[in-house]
Amino acid sequence: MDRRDFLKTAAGTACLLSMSNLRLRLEDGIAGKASVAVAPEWARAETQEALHEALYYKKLEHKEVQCLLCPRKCMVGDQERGYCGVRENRLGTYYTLVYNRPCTARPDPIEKKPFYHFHPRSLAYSLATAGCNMNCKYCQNWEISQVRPEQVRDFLLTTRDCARKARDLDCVSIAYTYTEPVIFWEYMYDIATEARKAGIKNVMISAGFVEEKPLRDLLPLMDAVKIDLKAFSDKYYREICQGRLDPVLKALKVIREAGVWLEIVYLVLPTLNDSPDEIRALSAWIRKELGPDVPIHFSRFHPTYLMKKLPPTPVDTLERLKEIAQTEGLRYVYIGNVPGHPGESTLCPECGARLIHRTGYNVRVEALHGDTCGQCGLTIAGVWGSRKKTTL
Amino acid sequence: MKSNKSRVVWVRTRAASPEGLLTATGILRKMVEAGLQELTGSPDPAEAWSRYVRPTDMVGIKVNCLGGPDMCTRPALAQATVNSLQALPLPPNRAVVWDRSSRELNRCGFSLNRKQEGAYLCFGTDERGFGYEKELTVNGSVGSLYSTLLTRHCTAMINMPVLKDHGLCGLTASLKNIFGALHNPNKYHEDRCNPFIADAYAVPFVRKKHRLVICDALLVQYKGGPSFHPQWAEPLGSILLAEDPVALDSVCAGILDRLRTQNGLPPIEEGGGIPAYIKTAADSEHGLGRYKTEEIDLREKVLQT
Repeated sequence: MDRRDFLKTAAGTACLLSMSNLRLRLEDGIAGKASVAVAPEWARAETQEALHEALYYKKLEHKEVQCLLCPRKCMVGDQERGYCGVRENRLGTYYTLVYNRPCTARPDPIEKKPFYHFHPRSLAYSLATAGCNMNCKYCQNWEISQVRPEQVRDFLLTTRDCARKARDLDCVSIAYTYTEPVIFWEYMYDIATEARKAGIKNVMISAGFVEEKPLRDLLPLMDAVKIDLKAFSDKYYREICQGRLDPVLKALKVIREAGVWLEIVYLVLPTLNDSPDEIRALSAWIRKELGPDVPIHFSRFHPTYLMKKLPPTPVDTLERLKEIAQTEGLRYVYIGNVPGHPGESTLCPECGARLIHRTGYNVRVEALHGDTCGQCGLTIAGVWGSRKKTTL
Repeated sequence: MKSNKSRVVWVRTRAASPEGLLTATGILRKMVEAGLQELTGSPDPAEAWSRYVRPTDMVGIKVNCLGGPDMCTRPALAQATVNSLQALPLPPNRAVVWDRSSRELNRCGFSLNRKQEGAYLCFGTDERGFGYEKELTVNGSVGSLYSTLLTRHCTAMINMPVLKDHGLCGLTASLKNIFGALHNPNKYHEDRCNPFIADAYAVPFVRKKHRLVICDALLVQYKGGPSFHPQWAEPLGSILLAEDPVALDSVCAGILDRLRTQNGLPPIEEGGGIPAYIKTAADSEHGLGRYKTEEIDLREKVLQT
């Protein structure tokens, strides 16, 4: 079925989904969606400007700088900003404008990130600043990721207060999420340091479009990383996301080598990144380069931002891709953004016992005993520490 | 009958020193009116302005303050234009001089004014009560929130950029000035800003409200732009006027190349020629104007006094 055929056949589904009440319910349940709105620039007084010298850049002649944080390596003239919109050159010194200035911070179920093999049923204190170093046409958080810091209603939250707040709210971890944490690297790093001191874990939810050096410097502070792998095609990365595939694959390998818990989310866009061949190649690559125990979540797309005309992913497409990935040898393959689907639950890859039952964010641990399958004794890959109940 | 050439008027003066000209509102007004006369054929400023603006219009004058006080649209040029518009007659407070932020306007020497009578209004998109649209405008490669000053409050736009070299796209003049009306210009600087600039300018409400370009080329940054570098800034003592932003930018590309050649520098485009985004703006899909030399009626005017 080509894209045109698909659009025709899916038109009915799209009409149904445009019913506003249903749509609202769906969006509430979409993993990783932040609950914030764009604020006018006046909402943030100039006196509150959060200037903090950036890391990972080099000074060039004539007050120009080059950013070395992400593969774009933006050349930035005086008074200009990089692609991310949150790092600015002022007279030859590069600053981050979002240090201590998140635009959202709240406890979320860890399953919302989503992490399925990391402290299930725990809370993650989840924060983001404005900005992103990509521009995915389907970004569900574009109102904070695709704007500049002065366009969001941000607030002061010091690194120490962030760790304290997470502890007070009984959160097992702090999640750097919603937008792209790479662009608030300095803030994330300093919070993570404080969190470690307070006995709180750190998890990063990223697209992985980052240079190797900052990533390697950060990983010792991270307990888990979720990477949004957008596709297994450089063309898709360039055309749909304004990014590139190779640096992301490299980042995945670096994370795995560092021994940090890794999960992958693959948002499935009908006709654009859902071909069986692509998923087969992707799965084979993951098995070979990262190992079969890295969980992958095939998530359902919902129309938003610049992709409002593409209908939601059919559930049977997700099921088909799950099957392909499993056939290729991946052991933990999930279906995401379809609350109540059996593909949300964790099954033992050996005996098929249901280890964790999930319906949306309702999570019940069943046959998982410690880190093993209670039925066959297989060790289940993951970080299974906490059993704290999600109380939101 | 519509001409098959786009007219661009390049006005210079010997009436003041290059430095003095930057603040010489009276002389600048004469330059604006001389340019208008050449552009419209009418010696009467009121009649010339009436080709572009109605007395009932709310005229937005989009200046460019990104380069700071040394390399911005000069406040005196904006003032001269507002003074000239009174001939229409257009009361001063029916004109609003704007850019993306009040802070940047203020830094460049513009006097912020929200409501005072007898003077032009002046503030940024970030001013309370304005801001950006809540709904995205999507056109080709661009999906942006536009300034409500442009979309809702102004009925006519005078584009008043400053001519500068731009390391990422060749030059910035009238077409690129539209980036100052978007919430996310940082997303549009790859691939020499092509086709982003053309797509951003080609949206219906910009086309509809665009009336005239008055380009500040009093002090021109011919290398190192868009930020200010005094060693590469030439006091050209000029302004350029055109209805066609593409033609005006094409002429500006030639001016920059000439200045660069005089200073032993390569042209703004590798191998010479017009930046790609200007050509894109002229293509059949965008239809924003003409860029080829043979399609441009360039008129030079030198004021002696």
